[in-house]
Amino acid sequence: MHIPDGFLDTKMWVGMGGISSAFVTVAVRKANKQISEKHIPLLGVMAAFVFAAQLFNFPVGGGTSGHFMGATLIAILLGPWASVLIMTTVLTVQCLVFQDGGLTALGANIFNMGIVGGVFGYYVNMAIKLIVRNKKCIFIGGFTAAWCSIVLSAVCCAIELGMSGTVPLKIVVPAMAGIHVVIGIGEGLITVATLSLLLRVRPDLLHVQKI
Amino acid sequence: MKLSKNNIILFIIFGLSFIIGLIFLIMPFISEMPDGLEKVSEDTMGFLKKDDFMPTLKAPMPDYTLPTIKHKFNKQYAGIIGVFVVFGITVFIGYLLRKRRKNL
Repeated sequence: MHIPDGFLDTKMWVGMGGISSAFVTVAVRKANKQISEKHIPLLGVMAAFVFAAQLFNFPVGGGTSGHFMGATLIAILLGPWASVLIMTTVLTVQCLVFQDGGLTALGANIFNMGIVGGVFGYYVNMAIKLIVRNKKCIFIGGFTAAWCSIVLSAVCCAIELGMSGTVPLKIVVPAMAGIHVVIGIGEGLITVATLSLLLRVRPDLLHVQKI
Repeated sequence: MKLSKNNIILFIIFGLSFIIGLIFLIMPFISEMPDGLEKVSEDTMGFLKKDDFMPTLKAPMPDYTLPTIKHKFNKQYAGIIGVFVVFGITVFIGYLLRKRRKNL
């Protein structure tokens, strides 16, 4: 879902850059108060994991593929603001080193994937944990939050393209949402698989203080 | 997580090895088909394709490929470089932002 250069008009990419900068500033402030030494290796390894996992495009039918986003997974493990920071790092490296996502669209990409995926996904997961109060809540919450994060990210991305005048809104929104309803299932499954692996190998990591 | 140094180093080595193993294991099976956004932009916009635009800057490894070396594991190597770059930058940011004890 990385928007390349040229898909967004100037007012849109400047605007999204501003919004994302504001969120990243908040994330830096929050992290500045809360990151402890024991968070650091965990942040690094999770960022590396998300980068690697984003490489794997899986087919979703109809000549289309999708890839894991990971913001919600990190938000569940480390908290929403840690997720915004890690996604910002991953997306910036992808843009500058691998030309995945345009430099002008970086702000929009950070908003769609990092902020929507991290902050929104985190609160969906929290809400579901309040409703489902048994052992399975971690999996139900993880799957639902991951799925919702992908669909909302795609809708945001579509709205940005539509408002840029690149493509009519009423065409691009259902098209993007439709494909990502399917891709979101993959996101949900990978999120649940990672959570259940961690639950077996290092259950303590699920109780790290959230940032 | 206990704070002993060995524990942390072991965690990092184990974590990164797992990720690199994952890259070699899954890379041959990745789909080359366009992703959701690329597909939608090809279908609905028709005239608009990613390659029609000049990127604002030239990245050293476009499309996760090492530009100079032709090798079977080219994409894997590019991925591993990315893993270390992302890990390094995140740890660096973590150190910059960490809580410091007062008067130290």
